[in-house]
Amino acid sequence: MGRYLTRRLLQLIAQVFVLLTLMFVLFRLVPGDPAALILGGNATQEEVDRLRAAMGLDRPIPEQYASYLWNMLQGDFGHSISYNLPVLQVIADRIWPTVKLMLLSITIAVLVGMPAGILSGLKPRAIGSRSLLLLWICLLAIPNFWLGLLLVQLFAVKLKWLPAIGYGTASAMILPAVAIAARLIALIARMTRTVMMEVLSEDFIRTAEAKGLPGWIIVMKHALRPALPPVLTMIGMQAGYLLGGSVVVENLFSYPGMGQLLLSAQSMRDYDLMQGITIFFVGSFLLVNLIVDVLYGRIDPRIRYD
Amino acid sequence: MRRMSKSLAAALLVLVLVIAGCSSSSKGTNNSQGAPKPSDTPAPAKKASIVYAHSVPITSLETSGMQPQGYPAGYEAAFAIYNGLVKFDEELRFQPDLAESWSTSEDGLTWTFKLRQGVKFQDGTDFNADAVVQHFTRMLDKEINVGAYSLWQHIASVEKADDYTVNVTTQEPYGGLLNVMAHGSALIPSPKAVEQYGADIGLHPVGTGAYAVEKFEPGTELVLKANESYFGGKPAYERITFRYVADASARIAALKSGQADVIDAVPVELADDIKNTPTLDLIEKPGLQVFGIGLNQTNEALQDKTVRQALNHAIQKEAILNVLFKGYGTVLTSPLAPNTTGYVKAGEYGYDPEKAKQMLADAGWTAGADGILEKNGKKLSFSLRTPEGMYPNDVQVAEAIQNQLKAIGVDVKIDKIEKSQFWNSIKVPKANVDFDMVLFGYNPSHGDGYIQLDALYATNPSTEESPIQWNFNWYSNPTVDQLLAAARTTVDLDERTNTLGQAEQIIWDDAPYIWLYAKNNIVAKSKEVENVKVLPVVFTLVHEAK
Repeated sequence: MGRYLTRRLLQLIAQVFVLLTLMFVLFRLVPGDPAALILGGNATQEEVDRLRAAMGLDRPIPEQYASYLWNMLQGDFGHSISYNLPVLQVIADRIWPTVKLMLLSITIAVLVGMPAGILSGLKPRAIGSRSLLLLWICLLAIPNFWLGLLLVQLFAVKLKWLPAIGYGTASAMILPAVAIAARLIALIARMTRTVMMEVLSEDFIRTAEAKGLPGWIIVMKHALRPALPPVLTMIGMQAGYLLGGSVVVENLFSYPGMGQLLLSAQSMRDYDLMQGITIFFVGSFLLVNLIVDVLYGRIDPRIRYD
Repeated sequence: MRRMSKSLAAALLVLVLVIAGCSSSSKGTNNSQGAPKPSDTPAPAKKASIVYAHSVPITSLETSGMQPQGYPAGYEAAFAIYNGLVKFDEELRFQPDLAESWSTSEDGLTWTFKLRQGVKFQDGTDFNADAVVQHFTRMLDKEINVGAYSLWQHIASVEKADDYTVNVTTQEPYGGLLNVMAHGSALIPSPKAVEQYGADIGLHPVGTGAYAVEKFEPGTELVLKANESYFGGKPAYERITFRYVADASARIAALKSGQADVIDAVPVELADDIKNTPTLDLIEKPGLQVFGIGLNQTNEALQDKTVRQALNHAIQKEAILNVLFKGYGTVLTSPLAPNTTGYVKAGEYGYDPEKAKQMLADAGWTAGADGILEKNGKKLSFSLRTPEGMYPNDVQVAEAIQNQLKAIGVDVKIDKIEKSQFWNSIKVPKANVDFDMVLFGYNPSHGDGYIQLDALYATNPSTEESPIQWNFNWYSNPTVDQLLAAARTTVDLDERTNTLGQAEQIIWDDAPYIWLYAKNNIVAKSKEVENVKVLPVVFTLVHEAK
């Protein structure tokens, strides 16, 4: 296991490195002068040139890259030009809110999706089951932005039950979490249902029934366990993805997470900040997938890592 | 399995506890949540604090260096925290702020400002000439003043005459000095704070203003607390919270649900909805951003003044405003928007397609077989460059122009360009110009008409290089240049306006642009909040709200 972990961690670092390089070069190749865009229409050419020099953009790209790497090894991820703070500090403030939102969304999705999937998997051909299936397809199809708008109009404006701006109190997180969770619920429920259906037709389930075990123990103890790995993998992937912040939902609810930060950094052409966020996103995505893979091994004893 | 479900349950329990524990971030921001409760009395009790939801994130509040970041929201907050020597009122006239009065010397080079006495910064230090001189000296340093040096370059020196008098000397007599003094970069921070915080002053701003910073989360939220000893009187609201809400419909939802009391940047499509809501007010003020179609002087046909004026008569400007902007705009009557310093009405180009056709006919253009006008074998056909996504409805406006010009026999091809490329593509040396017409919007954020006219209409010094400012149409009129040079060194405001007015008249007649409209600034608020000032320079000032 140790060797496996080391190998995976090294791979992770290599992947982040490659992506970092790619991103670095692409940002600088994209047309449009960030210094001019930052200073706006009223700036003179001289001011723009001065800012470009201050941002280090007038040096050749390999040189910029080398100095960026050197700084990064010392823990300096650059300077955010829009916040006038070190990039690491700006990102650090956003990590916890993003994790909170991610955890809440996943919790809601699991608490709603798994039971629904289990029930549906028990009686797959019942009317209730099929209409649930239809509901999940709808949830997958609805863009979460639109769902968010609907939720705001209904719960914040009309009913005034929940706040429209998703920040400040615990109740403010509910609407954005639901908007994000909708799609997850559908994914988790469908997958759980499918796996349940497969597992329930296996021989060992019939054995358990023959032994006289009550139905719910069969389901919870024996059928659910093989169903977990694929669901867990999927949750893991979604979690990793959400750690980058759900840009669209965060923007709609003004939730101070990584997604919104990326959006505002992009509009201000804050290169260093954008790079920092992307590194964080890619790194955490790969890390979460690694954790899921390891957990997979714990749940399913047939899998061995070496 | 048991082990698994136990640990799963434990994990879930921890999650729930953690999230519950993190909900303690309520504090003062909760005061303004939820709509005021209906009561028996006709006027519900006034709130102690208000929330202002704005469209651009505030990331830094320092007045030097890169400036309050997040235009205009950063400036709006800065105006609540700091004061400058003078300030703008809603008609963009200059009002005393930290300077009680000012005068200019005989030769127009030195401005003497008499400072208000007995004013203290929010950290207790006294406000006096030393504070002014210290800040202004930093602003005169190119290395420090990265964001606004072009405004300060006209100033030669700043000196303290006595504890409450400051002399500002300019390189030549400069009529626009007060515009610089009213700008965000001239807001004065506490010298003690500047020394104490150094580069971090953007996170811990200390000024003399109506509100002091209580809590600042850059990019998310700024909570201001009333400054009890503000020299302008104790502010009406105890707290103002600036919240960044990027999405326009989310801002409006927040306003309607009572979570916000004032919002800015209301898109025209949603403005009528607010007008029809009884608890909300819409504030609409003409802005300074002017839009027009630049007519490039490298194109032979466009060098003919008759053609340019004819084009102006061929466009139905009110219709464009009504259809694309729901009427929230003002048709231009001068190269400057009304309310810009130095605005003088220059005239009108009414919609008159018949007159336009006649003028073109008189200039020798006759209709060809395909309906397009031609003369000496050349067609009256132009390429119209427009950015995409830079201005509201930019492409639609270009298309409207295309249609309306087609009706009089002028062919226009639209050349769309991505917004980040736009400026680079038009600011090119004369020989590299590859467009005939261009949709352009200019926003004089300092409010000074002289700067705007100079930027767009002064002759470029060299055709081999890119335009030094925004005269990418290569317009040149020596009389205008003379008038602008005279206005620049005229220190008497009325005389300056007069001179600028003459320049505007000539430029208007010369018609180097198809003059279109000035955008209106649309802001919305709850009916209970009064005295929200909306400046033509797009600033929504909430610190004098009652």
